[in-house]
Amino acid sequence: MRRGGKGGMSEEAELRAKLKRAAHMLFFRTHSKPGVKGWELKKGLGKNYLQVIDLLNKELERIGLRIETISQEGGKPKNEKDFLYSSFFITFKDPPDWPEVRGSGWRIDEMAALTACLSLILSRGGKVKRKEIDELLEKKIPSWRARAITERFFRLGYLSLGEEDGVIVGWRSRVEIDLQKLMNLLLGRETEGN
Amino acid sequence: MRSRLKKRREILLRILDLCEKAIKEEADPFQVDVVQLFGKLRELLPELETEEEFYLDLEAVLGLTSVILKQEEWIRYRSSLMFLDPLLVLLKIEKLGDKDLADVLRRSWRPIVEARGVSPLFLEKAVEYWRTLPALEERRLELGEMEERTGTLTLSDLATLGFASEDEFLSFLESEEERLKEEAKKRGGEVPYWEFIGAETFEETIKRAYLVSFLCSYGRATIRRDPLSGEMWLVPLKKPLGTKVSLAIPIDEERWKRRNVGGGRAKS
Repeated sequence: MRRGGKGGMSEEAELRAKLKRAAHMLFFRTHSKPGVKGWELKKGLGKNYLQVIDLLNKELERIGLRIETISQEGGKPKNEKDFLYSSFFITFKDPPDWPEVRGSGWRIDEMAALTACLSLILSRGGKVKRKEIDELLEKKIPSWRARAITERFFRLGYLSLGEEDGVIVGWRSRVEIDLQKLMNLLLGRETEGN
Repeated sequence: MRSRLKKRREILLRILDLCEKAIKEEADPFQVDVVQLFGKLRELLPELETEEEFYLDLEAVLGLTSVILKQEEWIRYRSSLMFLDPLLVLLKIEKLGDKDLADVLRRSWRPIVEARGVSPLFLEKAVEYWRTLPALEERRLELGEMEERTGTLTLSDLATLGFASEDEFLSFLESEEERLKEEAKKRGGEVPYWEFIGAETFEETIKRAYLVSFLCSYGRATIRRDPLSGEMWLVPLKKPLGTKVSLAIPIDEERWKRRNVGGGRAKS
């Protein structure tokens, strides 16, 4: 085994230590909003931080998790500079099954409301008025409940307020939800469902 | 001669205006009959005399070219996978049951995973929560008292708060409500309690906290408390909530200094 790096630590041991640190940084929530910025990871893991993240991703995949990266603009980072200002998150690798969802505390009506809100926003080119969201939800649920649910979506970051009070897709939806798949599923499925 | 010149100028300006509207998406690009308008420009060309007319003609040709580009863009968007008919989407939302809609989300969802550990800050907050938590017997008494008692605000109470009349008090209350709504709008629906009441002086902070208690009693706002962190959030309301629960928030000078709410920023 080759020796090198700090204090004579072997390369493998150094990499293991970096992997552990990367996992701690990504799992442990230090800000009010989850996610770690690329520059924070670079500071903690060194200039080859993307390679460490890639390795950690492979390790996490074995237990059904993955690392998701979102650029400041809400898309995938394209170059090294983009990565520095992107946010890194650990998410499920595959969608949760129903028992997992039930255990998470989410209610069916909340999930249905989020699908409705997101699909309405996406179908209108990315922005709708708050009133339209309220009217849509109030067709199926009492107004006080609709209001409480949308407030929760704002708080958690699934929805957010854009210019001129328009409701737009929030940062958390961009990280957690495959929006194209959501629309395909909504438009492609039958009412009987499966 | 002059009237013909004026007429030609008008036609050119009208074509330009139409193109501009289509380019700025104020009008459907397919409402611009490009072929007919190019025909019109061709008819006018031999009659053009002044430099201004030639310039307007050139602008009109460029405008019509941009409209063609806009039409192409429109066709490409409508034929792409990204185009989603809003009416069809609304119909689907209304037709599908809650379970099916929830399943759509579940199948496209990969939730964020995060861990929360015990840190010195967390322990400090826990100790503070435990210290300020009233005894169970007191809380039982508080919870048992479901009916909210109302009282009367006397002129001397108002004077203590620095208000000369009831009208002044009410207008100040309204302005505080407006401030709360504006702040909440900027922050996604709610404002940290300590930030909202935080002021330059301790007396002003007390005054604001007192006014907030009135907003809550009148059903214009409510307080959400995170049971784990103990943080409190003010949420403006359009309609009063059905049930009311009393909430005592102790504020003393020492606590105010520790939270450093002076200047409007709360230190949690």
